Amino acid sequence: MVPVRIPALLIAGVLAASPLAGQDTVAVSVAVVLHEDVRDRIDVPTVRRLFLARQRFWRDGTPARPVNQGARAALRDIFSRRALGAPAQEFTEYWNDLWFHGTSPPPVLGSDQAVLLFVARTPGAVGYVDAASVRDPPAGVRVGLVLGAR
Amino acid sequence: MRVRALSLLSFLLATVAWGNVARAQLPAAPASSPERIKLGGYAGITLTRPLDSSSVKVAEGNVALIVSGSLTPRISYLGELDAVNSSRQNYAGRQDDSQFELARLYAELTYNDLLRLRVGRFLTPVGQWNEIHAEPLTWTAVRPLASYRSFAKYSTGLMLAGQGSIAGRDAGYALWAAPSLNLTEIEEDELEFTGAFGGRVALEAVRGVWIGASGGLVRERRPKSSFDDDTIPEPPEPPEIPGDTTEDPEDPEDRDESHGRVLAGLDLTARYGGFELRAEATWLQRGLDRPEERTAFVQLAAPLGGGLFAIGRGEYSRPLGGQTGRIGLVGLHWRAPGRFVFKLERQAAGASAQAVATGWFLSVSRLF
Repeated sequence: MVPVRIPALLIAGVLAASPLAGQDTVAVSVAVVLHEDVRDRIDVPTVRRLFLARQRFWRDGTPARPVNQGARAALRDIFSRRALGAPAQEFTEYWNDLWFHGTSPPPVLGSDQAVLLFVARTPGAVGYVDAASVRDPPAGVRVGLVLGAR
Repeated sequence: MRVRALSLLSFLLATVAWGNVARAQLPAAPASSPERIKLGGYAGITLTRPLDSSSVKVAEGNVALIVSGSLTPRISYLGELDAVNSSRQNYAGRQDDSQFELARLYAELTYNDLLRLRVGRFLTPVGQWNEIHAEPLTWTAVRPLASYRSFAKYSTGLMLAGQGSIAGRDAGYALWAAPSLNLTEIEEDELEFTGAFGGRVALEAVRGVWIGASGGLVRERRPKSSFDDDTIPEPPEPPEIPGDTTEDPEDPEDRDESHGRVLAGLDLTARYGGFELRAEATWLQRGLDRPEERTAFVQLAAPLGGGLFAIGRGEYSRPLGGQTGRIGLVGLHWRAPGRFVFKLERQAAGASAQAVATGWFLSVSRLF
């Protein structure tokens, strides 16, 4: 018999205090943008693998270069909920674990314009912006996927 | 003892400060080319008050420096040097120990997501805990036996690994081989592979739920102190395994030499809403019908708010040549501001559990 007991009341309290993920009710649509040379068709699972560093190459062998929005950007959290399945803050420990193996999270840029410039100039790049800002995508950028409100 | 503890603390703080300076000198701007060098690490100190003692002592202090980078998008490297200062009276035969250890040093060539080759010294891919065992990244200061007792934490050799998608679910694999290389002295509570190969597969069965299986054929070398209990009955003569270098299992002088065994492991991690359930089990046996060592644990981490978690863990252990023992742990884990992690826990074990650290443990650690 293990000489340790956890009171049922403690377990009940823990369950009641659980900060479960909130609902995504924001009307903003998020556009996933790609460097024009990336020919892969992408879907939500692919975007998730790219932004969690589980897919590091495109099918033609070009290294994938995902780029994030700032940690406090509202768009980042919306993207995280829709593409990655959880709020951005819940991935802190995930990236700490990967960091232990020498893998850094995607670099961060501070605006839609900066993301579009980076994607246009960087082969293999993939980022995300407010869909309203790419109704007419700049040269070198194509929209791969639009994540609308659920 | 006090001087030693203060020296260690000073070293930890100095290292953390140095790490911040080094980190600040590296630009965090988006990289359109590979990062050639990244410096970091972690530091931690664990205090313990054993159940049979009223004194508090330093159980372990650890500073790890990690350097990694990519020379090209397909060639990367990683090195980790650990400075460990430990004192665990519960572990057989060891009172105090200080050492530097080259924990990891490897180069990796990536062909694509499905195939990369790693050469050097790496964490043995058995279970989930061993591959992410840094003090600030684990839920508890005391490591469960199933995460290290039955295999070497580190292997030196080759590894093929990759990750991809199976029916829309993320999956990964690793195949590894470690030839006979005795690069480090074995610890009193650990073992070393003297020749091994194995594999691991892991699958995200549903979002947030990972299952994994590990296996291998291993020859290992254990410390003699694990076998010094004369009250333990000898197991029956095992069948001969090709490559087994055991000369005479009756002779105590030979008991720390290589033994050929089959290693198997299963693991599960499920996360939802801040909760994490983790379970791991490992077996070592000489034949399919001859289990020799079995360890398993189930652990639950539950959020309390403000970065605070309650931890509960139950363990089962039947060590090589020993008796079945049960171990329990309850504790708190706090992810504090500034990347500090505090842990307070109490581990207790049944009378038959062997070489298990019991008592109160308080740990502070930080990534840098």
